[in-house]
Amino acid sequence: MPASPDDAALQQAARCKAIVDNAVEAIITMDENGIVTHVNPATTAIFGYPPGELIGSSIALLIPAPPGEELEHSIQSYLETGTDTPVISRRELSGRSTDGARIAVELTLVAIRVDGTREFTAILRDLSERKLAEDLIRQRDQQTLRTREHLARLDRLYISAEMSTGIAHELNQPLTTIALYAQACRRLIENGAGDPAVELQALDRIEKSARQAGEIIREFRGLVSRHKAGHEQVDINRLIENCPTLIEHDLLSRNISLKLELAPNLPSVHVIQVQIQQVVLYLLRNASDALASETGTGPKWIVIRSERLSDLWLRVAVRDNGPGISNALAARIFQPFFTTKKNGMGMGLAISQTIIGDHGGELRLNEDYRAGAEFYFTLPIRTA
Amino acid sequence: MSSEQTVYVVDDNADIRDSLSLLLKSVGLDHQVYGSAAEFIDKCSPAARGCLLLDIRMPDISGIQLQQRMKDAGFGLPVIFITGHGDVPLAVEAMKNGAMDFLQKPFSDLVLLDIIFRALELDRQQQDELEQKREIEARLETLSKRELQVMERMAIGDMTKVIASDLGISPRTVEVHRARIMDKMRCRTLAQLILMLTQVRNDSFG
Repeated sequence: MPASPDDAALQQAARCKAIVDNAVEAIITMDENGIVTHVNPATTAIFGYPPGELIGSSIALLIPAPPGEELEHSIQSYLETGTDTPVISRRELSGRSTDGARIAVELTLVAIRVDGTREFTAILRDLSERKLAEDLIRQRDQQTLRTREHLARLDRLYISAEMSTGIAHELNQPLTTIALYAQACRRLIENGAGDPAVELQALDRIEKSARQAGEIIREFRGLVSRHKAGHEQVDINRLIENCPTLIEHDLLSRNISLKLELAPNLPSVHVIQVQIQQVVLYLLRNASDALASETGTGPKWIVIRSERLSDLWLRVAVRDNGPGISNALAARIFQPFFTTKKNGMGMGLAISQTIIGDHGGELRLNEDYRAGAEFYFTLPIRTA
Repeated sequence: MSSEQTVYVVDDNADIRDSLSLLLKSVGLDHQVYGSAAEFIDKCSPAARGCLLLDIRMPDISGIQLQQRMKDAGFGLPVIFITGHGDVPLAVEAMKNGAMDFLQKPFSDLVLLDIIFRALELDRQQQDELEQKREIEARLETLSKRELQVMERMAIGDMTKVIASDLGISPRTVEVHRARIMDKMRCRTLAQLILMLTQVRNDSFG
């Protein structure tokens, strides 16, 4: 038996009531003057007012002026134009709860006609939780940014410490030479055993060593000054060739031989030179540290290899014959602050990976290479 | 300083070698310079006297490696390492391996010469001890088998009567051996004899 029209209307009304009563949004019905005629339970849950206090009051109680004014104005303008579209659609504004606290809400206001009179239904979605979440995300982003800037600064310090060690080491040779010649000359003259020819020769050598010291400083300055540059077209092989200067004495003292296997005629890459240099240095240093931890007496070596993978990609690999990286470790080494070194900060690989990622490439551990460790990164071949 | 002492220098940097050479010459020290550890091993014998100034960082064979090889080959030369910036851990290793001292570049000539003279003095003492040891060994060579047996027992404090009964000879014969031992070893007291034996037998007595 088909339902009577009355039954259908009742069913429809019950359905609507169930929806309204269980909605998460506050659903408020008001007359054309903005006087509240009905509220659902969510309204009380969000704003704290019992229904009795709201019914008969102005909607301005929940959405105070100036937004309240605007709301009344919107209603007014609806009355004048008689449009059927929502008067207000998903507008974010600030409501007020019973204890006076401000609540971020999203308002949708629709007009309906019931028995020839106009009514309005306001649907208010509580945004405070979403707002909270958004604020959290924003804070975290800022924190991440700060951490990254902080790490980058630490890293510059690290590089400059490394450079100063390199400079000191290089300068010690000519400085020692200068001091020794000068001291020898003084003694020869004091003893009256001096031979002008010998002393002149020593003076020449002093001059030569001083010039050499100057060249060393210029060379290192050349390395440093490029650190300020942004993206530029870079010959990756030249970049690789410059890196070992900074840790040469480390490799020497650890008896590690370094071999460069650089593919000829590689196209240039568009990169921030200092950052890529930093990555190569990290990989070199990692390899060197790994080899230093080896107690065996066999030959220790590192190979840096550059090659063209395709029309689109270059690949640079740093390989060593150290102890290698176990599967268990491989899963964790790229995590920030994970380190196996006594004095490590555990940020090297994480930063390196970020840098290569920023350049559109990838930094990875070659898990197929088992006779030591091989890290490689790719860079896209493209021009500015 | 004994006349046959030489200051040996091994450094891969020619400027350092030449300037060190001139400085050593200015104070009248005999010296020899080498550009690599291999060259030094090739041209120098373990009998070399004096001291060695050794660059700690060199390609191929490092200073530390040369020190080890010299130790294995029985070189007695005191070794002074020349180290650069930040080489302290290496220098510590070198000292543990028996280096006499180390100099950090750049160094003053006064410090350098002071260390060199101390090294030469140490070398001279070692040389004297070695000569004494050789002399004692030479005297021991002159003892007969029976005299050696008696001496061993004297050294551990056995009385003449005990030695005589142990070896199945008369106390009178032991006395004769004793006198002859003291004569051949050129010492007047038992204490002197024991001291000499200690010098040549560090392994068993020391």
